[in-house]
Formats: sequence, structure tokens, C-alpha cells
Amino acid sequence: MTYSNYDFFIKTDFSKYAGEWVGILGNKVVAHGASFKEVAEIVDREFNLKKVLITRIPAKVAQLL
Amino acid sequence: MFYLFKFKKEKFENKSTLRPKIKVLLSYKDKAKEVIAILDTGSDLNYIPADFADYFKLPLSEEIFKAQGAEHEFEYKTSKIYFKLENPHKSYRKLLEVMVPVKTTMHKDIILGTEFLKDFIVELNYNRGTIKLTETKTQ
Repeated sequence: MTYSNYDFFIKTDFSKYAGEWVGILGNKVVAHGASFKEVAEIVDREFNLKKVLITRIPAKVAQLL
Repeated sequence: MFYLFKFKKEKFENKSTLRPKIKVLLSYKDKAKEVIAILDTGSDLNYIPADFADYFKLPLSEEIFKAQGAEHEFEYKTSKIYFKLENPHKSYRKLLEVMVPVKTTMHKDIILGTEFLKDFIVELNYNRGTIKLTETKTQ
């Protein structure tokens, strides 16, 4: 089954990437790294014309904005 | 016209919580990236971490401002970047001011505060797990 990248993000447990940034294309994590910029540059090099969704996977701690 | 999103269920310690995370397209000049941003009705301005400004090569204000974070004051400069939301029928796209921290990183996520949210009727339905942003004016 193929999800849009946002639906896949909402439904999937990414805890194995906790503390990292990931790039999601369809229903796959296609890049991960320590910062947004690092992942964005991987996406530019390897998936230039495709819509990759980039997000941070938070560590398992409570958040206060 | 409205845009629908869902809460992201995330774990902390032995519990789970629902966080209002939406997909936005950020763009500036020849660069664009789809990213996840978190909605925060308690933030006056929008916020991006410094490495976003670096990646998009955003021009920053010369003036440095001070803001109160959850616990500490921090210094920031301002810039502007395009935010775009899409649904199958329409899109919202607007150049919005953002805070960019200097020296200390206060947050790691993109935060969409009042400066963004004021363009919408914002409905956070924790029971259904849905987020509905309805535009209040034509862009």
C-alpha cells in the first residue's frame, strides 16, 4: 500500500530515528541525519525532483514549547 | 477553503501524546522543501531553527531582538520565507516573518504561531485527532 508521505508520517512509529531528522518519500524513509540541512542536502543530491517530506523525530521526552 | 491534517501520536517516557503537526512547503528563491511544522497558539511569531535559514540562504535582519522562551530569554534575528499549504482544490501561499535564533537554539522544530494562525479559523479536535485550518480571507 502506498501512502502520501504525510499519511505515512502520521501513521508510523519512527522511534528508531529518535533525535534525528528523516526524509520520507511515499512510505519509505529515504534519508536521515543529524540536522535538517544535512537531510535536505541528501534529498537535493539524490531525490532532486521528488517531494520528500523532512521532519525531526523527537526524543522520547515531554516537550514544552 | 480549508486544509485538513491529523495529530501525530508520539511517545514520551511511558506515555503517549498528540502533537499538532502539519505539512507545509517552505520556499525561498530556487529552494523548496516539504517539512513538518508544529502549531503553537502560545507563540507570537513563527520560528525556524538556524540551519533552515542557512540552507535557504535567508537574509537576516541586522537588528537582534529578545524573546522569552519557555524558560529562558533568547536572542533572534528576523527573516521572511514562503509558507504553502495545499489541498486538492486550492493552496495558501504567503511570505511570513520568522524568528531565527542567534547563538542558542531554543527549539529544534518549525513553530507556527499567531503570525501564521491568524489567517485561519483553527479547529483542534483531540477526540477525532483532526486539525482543520479554514482560511478567513482570500490570499
